[in-house]
Amino acid sequence: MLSACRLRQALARLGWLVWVVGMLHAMPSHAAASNTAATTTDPWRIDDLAVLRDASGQETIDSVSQPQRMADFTPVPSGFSGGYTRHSHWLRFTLQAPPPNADGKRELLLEIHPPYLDDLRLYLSLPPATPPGTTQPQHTTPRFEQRPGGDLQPQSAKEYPYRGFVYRVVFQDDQARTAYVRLRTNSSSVLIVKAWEPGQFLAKTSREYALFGLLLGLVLTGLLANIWHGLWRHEEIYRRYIAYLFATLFNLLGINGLASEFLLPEAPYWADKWVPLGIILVVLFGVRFYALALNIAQAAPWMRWVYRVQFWLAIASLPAPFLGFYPEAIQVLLSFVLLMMLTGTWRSIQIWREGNDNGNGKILLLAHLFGLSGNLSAVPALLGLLPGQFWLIYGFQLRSVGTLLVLQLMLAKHVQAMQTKLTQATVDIEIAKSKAQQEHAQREQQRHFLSMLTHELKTPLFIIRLRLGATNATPRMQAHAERAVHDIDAIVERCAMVSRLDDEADEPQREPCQLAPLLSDVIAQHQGAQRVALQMAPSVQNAPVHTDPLLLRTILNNLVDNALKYAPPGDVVHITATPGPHADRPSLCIRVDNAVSKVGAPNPAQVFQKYYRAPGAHQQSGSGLGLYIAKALADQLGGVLEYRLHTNRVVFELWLPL
Amino acid sequence: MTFDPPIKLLVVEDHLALLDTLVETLSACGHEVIGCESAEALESLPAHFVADIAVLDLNLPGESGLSLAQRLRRVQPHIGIVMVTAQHALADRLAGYGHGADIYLPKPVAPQELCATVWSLAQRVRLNTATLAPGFVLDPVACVLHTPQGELVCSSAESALLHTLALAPEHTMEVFQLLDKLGKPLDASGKVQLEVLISRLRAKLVAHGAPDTPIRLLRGKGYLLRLPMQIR
Repeated sequence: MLSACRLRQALARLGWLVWVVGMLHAMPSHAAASNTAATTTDPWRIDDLAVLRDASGQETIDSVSQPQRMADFTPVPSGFSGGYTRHSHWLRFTLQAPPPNADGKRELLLEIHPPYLDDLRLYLSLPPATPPGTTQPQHTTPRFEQRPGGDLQPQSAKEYPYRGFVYRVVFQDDQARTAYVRLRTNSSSVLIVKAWEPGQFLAKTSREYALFGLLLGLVLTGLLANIWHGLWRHEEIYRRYIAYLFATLFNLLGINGLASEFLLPEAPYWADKWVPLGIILVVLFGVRFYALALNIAQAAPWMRWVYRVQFWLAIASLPAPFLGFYPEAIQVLLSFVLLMMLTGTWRSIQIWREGNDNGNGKILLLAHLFGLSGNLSAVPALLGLLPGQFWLIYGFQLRSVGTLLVLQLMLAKHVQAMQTKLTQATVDIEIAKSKAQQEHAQREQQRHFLSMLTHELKTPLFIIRLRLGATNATPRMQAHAERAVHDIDAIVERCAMVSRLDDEADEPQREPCQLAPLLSDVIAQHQGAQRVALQMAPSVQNAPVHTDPLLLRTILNNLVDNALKYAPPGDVVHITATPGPHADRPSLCIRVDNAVSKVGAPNPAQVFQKYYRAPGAHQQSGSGLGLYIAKALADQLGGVLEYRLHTNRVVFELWLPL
Repeated sequence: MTFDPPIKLLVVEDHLALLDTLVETLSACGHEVIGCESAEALESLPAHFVADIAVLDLNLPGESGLSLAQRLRRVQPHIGIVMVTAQHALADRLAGYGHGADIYLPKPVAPQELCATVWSLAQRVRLNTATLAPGFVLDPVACVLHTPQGELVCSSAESALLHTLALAPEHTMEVFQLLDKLGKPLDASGKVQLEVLISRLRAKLVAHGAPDTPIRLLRGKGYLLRLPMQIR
């Protein structure tokens, strides 16, 4: 029940994440779609992004803005992706003058991504200077205004408070402005640019942060859920998965610029190192997790080597961001990640085909395919199948989230299996406990029985022994001895009867029987029969009762025996038989009652229990079984045997259905 | 092989037929036997009856045989105690001896063995009671209290009072029990008579070397005998 609930939760979480990812996906793609739909005169559209690689690092704005250099730029309309490199790149694009706003001003917001770029310089062309006294601008070298950027500066130095880089661009007239961006970064050299109408940008920003909040919240929820169920205390795989989730969360905060904007706004050094560290940590804990999930320890030696090398490479890369060899280290590391993912894919297929994996092989394969799709995400973007600019930045993140989702599914299945095992174990324990209790109760019964036998048989045996040793026994002693023999016989007889009753060996043999002779016979068998007063209603006397005469005789025998034994000596025992309804059924009531003896009356709660002896009952021999037997037999006959104390008389009533 | 005067035997057994048979068997050996069906029934014994030997069952309703044995042994250190019971596990037997039993016989013991045990014990008991123990020893038959400072002759009521208190659990008896025992009226006049009796007895006891207030009135409980006393 619990595990089903947890699975549902896992699925719900999956649904949410898919939705969020979808929203992230839909947002820029929608923007891209509207861009394509718009005419070429759409002032917000930037469609001439082009790049120039500054191999020597000697280029300046003046050198690259020379008209003859135009041809050196390579067009990259979907966004620029240059991989990890130490080289600087120059990007050039045109900003169309937007229509004037309500105040008659022409201005736009230029958004540049991603947030983790180290050093960014934006150069915006200025209208040619008009020398004083002239009206026509002279054709001279273009002038530029320079705006700084990059995550090496503190958050407060940003022109616009945003995780990425945003610049307000003002136009004097309807003339387009040319923009150059010089880009130098240790991280992946990627750049996308977008022009926004200021109001729209504000709306977009709110949506975006809300979605990030949701995404991070859900990853955090997943993390907490995994910590909460506590399996990590016993199972290595959960510890490694939690570490992997932590690293991913860390990485998502870094590459989306949230760490530098919110967590370390005034510590640009650490904010800058956050991103490379995040990527290395994801690789490091990813290797640890996959190695265990794929059971690499039992895999082929070459596979073990791949994971081992990958692990040590990640460890070795940890100081790289601080020591200045990060671009080289990350290139090696990420190449190896591709190799590891391919190895993992192969291993997943192996596990799948081995078949005894509880379906984990398929899930792991899916996770690896997700991962690989992230690595190859540039391809569909370049082919135009996906919105390029979006995919360049979010491909990696989507891959991470997708992979985590799939793995979460696998672990949720494991949790479910564990829960089932746990439930089974709990059930087993309960069964064992109740068995033990049953056995204990049986032993207790047996102990009770033996204690009753030793005590109750030894006393009459002692009397007999004393009688045998007496040379001149008085008639009194002789009577005691005879009674003792009778007592022993009664006790043994009752034990046998109880044994039969407990085995439920007897089925009542019903036949019509006359109550009057039966009762007289039962009374006559007892010593002290003269103390019994019998009263029968005429209707009872004449009508036969349909019942088992043998069982009825036993019940009545025990009741009469009981009454004669425990009534005060010489007191009269009353027996009455009358018809009457009981529980709305026509019944026959046989009532046996006697005065309470001076030592007290039986306890109603215990009187029908096995081996119960009323206060003072030990003055005479008895098994404590007579009333238990009578009650059980009354049940067999479909009747009821009740005991109550009525005006200082002990009353037993046997109700038999007619 | 009979004793003169005859051995006084107390039999306590809750099974009425067995009690009857035991009394008859032991009487047939020439002893003076009184049977009781519970420890509580001891209070109705005649005041002059001081048992030489007690034959006790352990499973008694109310106060158990073990507790009764302990109580008897405290008041009459030389009494012979025979325990006759169906429980004869080692722990039961040790508990019996720990509570003052001289011998522990399992049911059903042969009557010859029971009689032989009683006879053997009786010889020793008679020998011991012939020599007087130091301190206060009451002879309820002669109504004499032997004290460290000579014999103190008591009235029969005083002797019965001391006997009853010495035998009672915690040496304490309620006022109405004492009145009943001494045959005094159960009303205010009886109470006054009892108070007079006790204050006289106190003075006599103190004069014979007893500590202050040897019999004390406990509010709501009755009278407490604070004097260590034995009975022969």
